[in-house]
Amino acid sequence: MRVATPFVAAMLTLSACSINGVGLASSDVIEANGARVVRTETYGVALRTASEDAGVTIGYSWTLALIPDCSDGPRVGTHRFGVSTSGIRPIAMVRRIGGIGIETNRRTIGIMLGFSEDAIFSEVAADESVIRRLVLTPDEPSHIELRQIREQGPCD
Amino acid sequence: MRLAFHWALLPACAATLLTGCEANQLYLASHTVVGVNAAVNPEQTNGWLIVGYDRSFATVIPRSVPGKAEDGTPTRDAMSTLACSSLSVKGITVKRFTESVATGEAAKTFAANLDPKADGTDAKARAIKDFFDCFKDKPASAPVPDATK
Repeated sequence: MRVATPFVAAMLTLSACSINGVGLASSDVIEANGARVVRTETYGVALRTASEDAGVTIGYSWTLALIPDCSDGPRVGTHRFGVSTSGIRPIAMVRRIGGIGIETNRRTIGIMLGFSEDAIFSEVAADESVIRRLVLTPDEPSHIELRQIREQGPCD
Repeated sequence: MRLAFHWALLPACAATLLTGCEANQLYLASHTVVGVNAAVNPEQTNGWLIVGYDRSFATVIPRSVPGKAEDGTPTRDAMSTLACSSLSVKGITVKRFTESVATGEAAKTFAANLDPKADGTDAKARAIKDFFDCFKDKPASAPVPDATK
């Protein structure tokens, strides 16, 4: 599976598209204070398949996802063909799109032409007990701070 | 210039945009668009068309948390949440967002201890106020000199 990933990424890059942040994309994984930041840029056609975030971007997208600092998360550094965070529930996320954005997820169905910025700063289940302090600076990822206490562990 | 046509009020649209029909999660979110944006919620009960510029910031608190009445009867109530949040923007993008939030039992415990008179321990209230910026005691302002004297 790991051998096939670079091949798939190269094929997606040649066809000017990406799926879930892998393909014609680049990602930086940055260590922040208490969390990890995944900043991904995509060009061309970018497809997202997660049900809560599904959609297509045609043009340019910039996504910053704050994820828990877990051992099975993406490694810190630059990933030339992007890195997938599917399966990891982000703590917070900011996405900027320039071009055409099509949303087909469980929150909304629609189309955007121009520039948009969507940010989800908190997403906590109704029956969850959480204590959290977050400082989110999208343009300065290394200054991001997270202190969080959850009933479940941060990586569950 | 902003030309916007809403089938529902903007906050409702923002909430719908971000959460769908019945929220089962606490959300704090923002949405900014420059251009054209047309969308509906998955149930197709709300929709909106924006031409130009629009920005919305929404908090959605679930109203369907299971609880128990005093006699043990199962009930449903709004989610307990104690939060201080601050958003600053530069141009059309988010520059900085800060948030201190407690939910569920943690929110109830924090709220009960916010008042130092509750159990007489001032240190506990001070620690909570340090965590939640917006509850911090403001320094007493200096008295304004009386110009008539």
